[in-house]
Amino acid sequence: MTTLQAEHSPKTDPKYGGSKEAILHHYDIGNEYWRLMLGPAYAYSAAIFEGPNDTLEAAQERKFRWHMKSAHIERAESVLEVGCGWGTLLRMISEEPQVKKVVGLTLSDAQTVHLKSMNLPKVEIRTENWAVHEAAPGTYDSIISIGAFEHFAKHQDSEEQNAVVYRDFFSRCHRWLNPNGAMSLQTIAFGTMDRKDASEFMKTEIYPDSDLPYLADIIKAVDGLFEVVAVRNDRFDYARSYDEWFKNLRARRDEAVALVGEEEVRRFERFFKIGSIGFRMGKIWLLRLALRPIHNDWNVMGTPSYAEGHRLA
Amino acid sequence: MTTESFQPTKDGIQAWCQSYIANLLNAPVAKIDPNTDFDKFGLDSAMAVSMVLDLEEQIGTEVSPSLLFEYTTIAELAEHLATVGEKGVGAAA
Repeated sequence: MTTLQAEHSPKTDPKYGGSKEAILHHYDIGNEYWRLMLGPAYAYSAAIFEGPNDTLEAAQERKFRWHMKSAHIERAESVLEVGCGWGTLLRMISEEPQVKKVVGLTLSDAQTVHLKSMNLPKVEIRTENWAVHEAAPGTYDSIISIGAFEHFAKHQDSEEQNAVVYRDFFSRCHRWLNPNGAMSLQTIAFGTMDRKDASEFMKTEIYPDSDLPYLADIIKAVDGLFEVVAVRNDRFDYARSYDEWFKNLRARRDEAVALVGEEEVRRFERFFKIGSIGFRMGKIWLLRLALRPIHNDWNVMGTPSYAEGHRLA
Repeated sequence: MTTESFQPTKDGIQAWCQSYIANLLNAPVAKIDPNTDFDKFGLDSAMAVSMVLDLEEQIGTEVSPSLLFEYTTIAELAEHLATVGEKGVGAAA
């Protein structure tokens, strides 16, 4: 363990790996309000759109199916979702017949209330940071994390400190994963923009105590732990998702104002527009990565079963 | 930039955008050529967002961010929005 790792840990920093306060600031403004914006899919991450007439709901389901395939849920009995939102993916995974257990992590109290009220079979909800999650080596066959990675690092920390957090996250996932398992990750990343140019509005109003990685940060953080089976940059999917949420918000603006007030609604309108323009300009990217854990044993890495896991849509 | 005298015609929207960008950049309106691509003015994403939101309020109809990338000059955007407004597509109540 390096000195920096020893100094930068959940013990020295209660916000390590994801600030609870930052999560509550953004996510706990009201489940009703989020539902109004997100629509029936109730998913707050970029969808995968196909064609101009696609609906947000269909595109969100397609996104979740992509990650299920990427993480090889079809052969998983035990699954971890890091940052499980309002449970749409947990429900889809729990419906898979061979799945015996799904663990969902969130830091949001409001999401926890909603998730527990869903009473999903086989699902365990934990209001817990991944950095303190405990699981025996090889516990999970699949790990999926969608739209949580953005909260792991903090803009006020140094790049070196953030690199420690990213590395720690992948080290833990590697340890928790069955050697024959797989992981699927989705996150926003800085594209052509410089980290220091991130707007004050985004840093203070929308995502306090958060930061984005560059693709290179992720590649460096997985080096020697995971092999990258696929990387997609689907930034236009996120631009369109923001546009769809904006439309939902505008269509029911009066209800939204009644729920959270005019100022909050304006903040979100501005946020969705900034996001949409930022993705269209390529300043920010939307990354989807299919990952397989690296092991030294030939009887893991070269087997037909491992090879089968290398296939991706 | 008074709302009273504003007309959501091509000329009205064009004049509004010119004046808005001139104001953002602290430049004389005459320097804002309606046939120059938006990105040539050096607008950053935050400026573009402000313009889109204020323009929406001004014309009373939604301005999708995607329009800035399809109609990349003030003149093209103004013409598109004026046409959409005439047809009543997405026009304010």
